[in-house]
Amino acid sequence: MGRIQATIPDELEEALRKAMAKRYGWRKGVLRDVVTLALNDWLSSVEAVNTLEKVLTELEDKGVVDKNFAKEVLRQKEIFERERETLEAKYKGLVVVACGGEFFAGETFKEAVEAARKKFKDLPYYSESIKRIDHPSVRVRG
Amino acid sequence: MSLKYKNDAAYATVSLVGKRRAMIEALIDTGADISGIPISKCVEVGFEVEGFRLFRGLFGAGFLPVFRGRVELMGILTETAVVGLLNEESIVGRDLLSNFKLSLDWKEKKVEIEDPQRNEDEESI
Repeated sequence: MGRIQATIPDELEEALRKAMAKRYGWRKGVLRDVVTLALNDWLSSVEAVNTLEKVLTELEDKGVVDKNFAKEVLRQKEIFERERETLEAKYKGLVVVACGGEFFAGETFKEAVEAARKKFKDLPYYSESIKRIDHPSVRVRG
Repeated sequence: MSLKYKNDAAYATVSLVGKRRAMIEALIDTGADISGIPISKCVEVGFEVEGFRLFRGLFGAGFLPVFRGRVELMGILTETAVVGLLNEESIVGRDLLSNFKLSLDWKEKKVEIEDPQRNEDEESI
């Protein structure tokens, strides 16, 4: 096993220890498990952004999207990833659109997009549905 | 109006109206929350990309572009967002189907689609 040493703000450490004690009690190895979980989550979000970046680059090369569009979609995706935990708790089963740094949720994609477009007319957006299947019958390339 | 029935599924003829026009045959898919058109076709008719979405299917997930354009089904022209698909299949999802009454008779291999609003209007004339 590797060993990592890091300095974090006092408030964060206090909040972390309180949350760990409340959720898991005072047992050995809890900090290691929580840090591993947090790092894995962070790596998954980086991986997701990298995959999106790759798809956007492919479409940019084909002339389907331009550089500014790709940059803005990636920015919205990063904002989405930073708030993922909150969004998953708040909007389970709904479609969420991240646009202009804000979030718009709806029962359907159409509803969420219309709300976003009402506020930010033509700004590119990034969207995901929260814990639901969008196209059950279609095999989507991963 | 009866829809085309082939390979044990129903298909509708849909017009894509962008800077150019094209007609396609699309699978009726009541499981899809949004209609899907091949990216190549969206580009061909001049639909604009407006965003990106992570689409989840039962067999995986992927990031796909979302295009805005006008789609005509049963004579009704709707401005809508459609997902750009990587393969050459097109599907009509609930975003467009929700405007219609769809009757499925799989035993007789017959699928009827009608616009209830239009029927009401015709009856009142």
